[in-house]
Amino acid sequence: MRVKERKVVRMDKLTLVVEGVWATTWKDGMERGEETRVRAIVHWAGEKAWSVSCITDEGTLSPYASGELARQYGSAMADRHARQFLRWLGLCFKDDACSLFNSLDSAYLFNPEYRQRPSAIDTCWRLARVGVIASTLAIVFNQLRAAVCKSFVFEAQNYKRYAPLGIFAIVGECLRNFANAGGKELDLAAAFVELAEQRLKEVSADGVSVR
Amino acid sequence: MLHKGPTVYRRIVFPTAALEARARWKAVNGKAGKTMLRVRVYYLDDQRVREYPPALFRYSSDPLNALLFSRQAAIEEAMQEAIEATDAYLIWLALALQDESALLFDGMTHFFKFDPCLPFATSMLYGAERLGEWAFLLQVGCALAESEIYRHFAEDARKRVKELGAFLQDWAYRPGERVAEVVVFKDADRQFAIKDAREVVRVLP
Repeated sequence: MRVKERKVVRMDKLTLVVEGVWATTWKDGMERGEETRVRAIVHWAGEKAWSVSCITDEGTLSPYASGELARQYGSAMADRHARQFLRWLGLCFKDDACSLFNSLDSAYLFNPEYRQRPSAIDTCWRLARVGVIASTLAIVFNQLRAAVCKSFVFEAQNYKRYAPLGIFAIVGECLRNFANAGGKELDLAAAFVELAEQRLKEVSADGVSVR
Repeated sequence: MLHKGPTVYRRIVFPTAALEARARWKAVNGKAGKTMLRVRVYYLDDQRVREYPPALFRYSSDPLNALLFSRQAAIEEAMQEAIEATDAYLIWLALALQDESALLFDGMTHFFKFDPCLPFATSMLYGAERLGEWAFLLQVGCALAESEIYRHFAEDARKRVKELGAFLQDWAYRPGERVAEVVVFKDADRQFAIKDAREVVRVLP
C-alpha cells in the first residue's frame, strides 16, 4: 500500500512540491514493514522538474496494516512528515539553528545526553539519518531562497519597504503557518505580502518593531 | 602542481571479514584541496567486497602551500592530511565500540560544527550533512566489528568488543605509516587476541 500527501508552495517562477509518501515494505513476499519518505519536487518555470528525497521514518508494520484504516493511518503519517519538513524549512529561513537542532533531536533522538544508555551504533544510525535529512533540507532551502531572492520582494522599492522586518524571517513564518494550518497549497508571494503588511501596520501602530 | 596525495590505508582484519578505511588528499582547483575517507568491507568467505559512499573529512590547502618549499614537502603534507582522516575514523570507531556515545557525539558535533549555537541554520545543515556521512561509515564499521566478534567469540562478546575499542584507541595514532593493519584472531589456545599485523608471526603451511 502506498499513500501520498502533497503540499505545494509557489513562489514566483518556482513551484515546490513537498510530498509525504507512506508505503508498506515487502520482504519474502510479505508486507513486513512501513516507511515514510519525504520527496521534494523542484520545478522552475520553463525547466525540467527534478526531485530529492529522503526516508524520514521506517519501522515494523503498524497493527492497522490493511484496509481503509491503514490508508487513513498512512495518509496521516505522510501528511505529518510533509508538514514537519515544511516546518524545518521555515526554521531554516528564520535562521533559528537552535530550534532546528532541538526539533530534529526530538524527532530522531540523536543527542545521547538526553537518553538513557544509548548504544553507540544506535547513535550513529540516528546521526546518519539526520545527515540525510539535513542534506535534503539544505538543497530545498537553497532553491526556495533563490526563488525568494529572484522574486518581486527584492525589487528596490519592495526591498526598502520589507527589509527592516527581516524578509527571510517572514518567509519562514509563512511556511510555518502553512505547515501548522495543514493546507494543500501556498502562494508564498501572497502570504508574504499579507504577513509583511500586517507586521508593518503593527509596527506603525506602536512605533516599535514586533520582530 | 600536486593533483593527489598518497592513499593511507588502515585495516582491521577479522576471521571472516576485513574493514578497510582509506583516505586521500586531492586538489580541487589550484587553490584548495579536500580529503575524502572511503570505507570498504571485504567478506573473506565469499570473496565479496562492498564499498560505501565516501565522506568528506575537510578542505585543506596546506599541501599546496607546501609546494612553495618542495614537492616532497607537499606530498608529506598531503599524506599527513590523509593520516589525520584515518586517525579520526579509528578514534571515533574506538569510542563507538566502547559505547562512549556522549564522547563520540561531542567529538563529532564539534569537528563538523553541527552546533545549535551557530548564527546561520545553513552552516548547521552542512555540518549535519557531513556528520551524517561519517556517522554512516562509523555505523558500518561498528556493525561489522560487533557481528564478527559475536560470531566468532560469542563468549563474553560484549567485553571483547570493548577490548577491541580500547586497543584501537591506543593503536590509532600511527605517525608516518601509509599502511597499517590490526588482526583480530583466535590464538593458539583458541582465545580472543588482537595484535598489530607486524607482530603476528605468520605460520606458513
